[in-house]
Amino acid sequence: MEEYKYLIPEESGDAISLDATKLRKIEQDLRSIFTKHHYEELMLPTFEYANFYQGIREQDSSSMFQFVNSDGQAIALRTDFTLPIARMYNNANTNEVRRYSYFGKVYRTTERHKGRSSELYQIGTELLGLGGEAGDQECLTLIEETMDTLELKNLKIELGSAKFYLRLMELVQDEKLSTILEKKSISEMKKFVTERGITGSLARLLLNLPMAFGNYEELMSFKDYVKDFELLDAIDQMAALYQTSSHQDQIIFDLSMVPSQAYYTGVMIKLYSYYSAYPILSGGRYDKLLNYFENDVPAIGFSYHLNTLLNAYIKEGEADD
Amino acid sequence: MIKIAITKGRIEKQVVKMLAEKGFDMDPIIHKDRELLIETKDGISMIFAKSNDVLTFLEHGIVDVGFVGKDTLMESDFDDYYELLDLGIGKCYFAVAAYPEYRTKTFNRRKRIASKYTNVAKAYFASKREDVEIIKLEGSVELGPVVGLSDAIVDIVETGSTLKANGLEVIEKVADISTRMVVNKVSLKYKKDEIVKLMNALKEDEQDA
Repeated sequence: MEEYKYLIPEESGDAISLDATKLRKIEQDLRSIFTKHHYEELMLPTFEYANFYQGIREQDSSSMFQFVNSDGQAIALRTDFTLPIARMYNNANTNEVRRYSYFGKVYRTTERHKGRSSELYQIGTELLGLGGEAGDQECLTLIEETMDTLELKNLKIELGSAKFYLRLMELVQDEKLSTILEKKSISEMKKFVTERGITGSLARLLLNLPMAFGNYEELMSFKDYVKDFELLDAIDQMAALYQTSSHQDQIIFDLSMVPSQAYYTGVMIKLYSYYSAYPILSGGRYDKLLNYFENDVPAIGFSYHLNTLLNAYIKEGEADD
Repeated sequence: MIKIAITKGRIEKQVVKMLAEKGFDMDPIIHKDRELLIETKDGISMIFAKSNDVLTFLEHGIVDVGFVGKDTLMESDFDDYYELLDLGIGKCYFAVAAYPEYRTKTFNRRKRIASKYTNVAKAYFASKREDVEIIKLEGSVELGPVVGLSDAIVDIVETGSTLKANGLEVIEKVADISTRMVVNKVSLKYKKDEIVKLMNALKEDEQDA
């Protein structure tokens, strides 16, 4: 049997189902917005040292496509764009504000027969050297401008705060809390608070955190549970960013959002479609990433996940029929 | 409309009963025949599936909510969901079980552990920094030690009577198991009110903070 003539490997499953015409259209729309705002498009290498990723994103090591090159070095297919762009900025030896965009695929191994994809098409931007409110605002504005061109119905922008999370971990000093927040597990939180003997205002805050998500009014009412100055500050930052939004009615918050990467430091952003089980965009402020290169530069970026996005179009289309 | 996948059998019966007690319209489900998908008057659409499939439906966004045992969650490599509630029903636990001699025996080779839950077994022994060989068995895992295939098993223990009947006993408890309410992450953001309503109906009756 010459099956290889007729079948495609499981790794490329999703790649062939992408609607190329639609994808190129989105690409074109986003590119013109990025260009308008002076984001310089980059072509980045497909191959990287495996150690390059492992040094900062441990969880990537099990999901990298790897081979050993002629020098005996472990080489991986790129799993993300943010790191190579941060490296490029660092190597440029500058502290100016730089704006970059990228269009391309990242590669991650996945479990068999799960309908998950190994080849992921991403479009995104990185804004380096611009910290604080100004950077956050520029990033959110750009997301809002791009999401309008998508012509998808019922999108929601979700804001979280790594600053809030990091302060919380500092107050509680227990890694277990991270998993509980990630799972929004009300029952486990109750157990955790009791077992750890946490009382008073911190206990009240923790017990309410799993459900501490919703619109702006709900965020403001959750503020009542927060007594810590730094935590309040993190909420105020999110609120201030919200005030600058042109899409306030589409913004929701999640105080128990857990950063997906250790280098996130501030606002975290996700974009949801009603028709997709996963975010179509994710991003955030990662002021600590450049520390990896012994540098100290504020940065923020986001990335559209085209596989998820294109699926949302299909589902929305089916729902309209 | 909120879409629910529920593990067929005992979990289904218990959850449906709990919801019925709280005033949800469960009649079409209680009186169902062989249908796999049922819609109720409360705007709930329910499908009935094997535990692993409940999680698969959730992962692919086919359903918003799933009811499934912690055993299934622990064994699955998918973990991108919210685990809102421990329903406190269907309680049992994962344990290492073997003949009593296992406790004192010295092994000059890798121990062999049979289990249907190979990921759970692997993770447990790894957490103890013990290198063991895991052998997958699909059912009647107790046979492992009985026929001499494995030195011990990792399995779900409820009453322990099957173990006892075969001369085996619990060596160590691995983890508690009970039924959980899991939710697709995006669904919770779009259907907060409906899902919270469902959740509150299933919350153990205790004071809220």
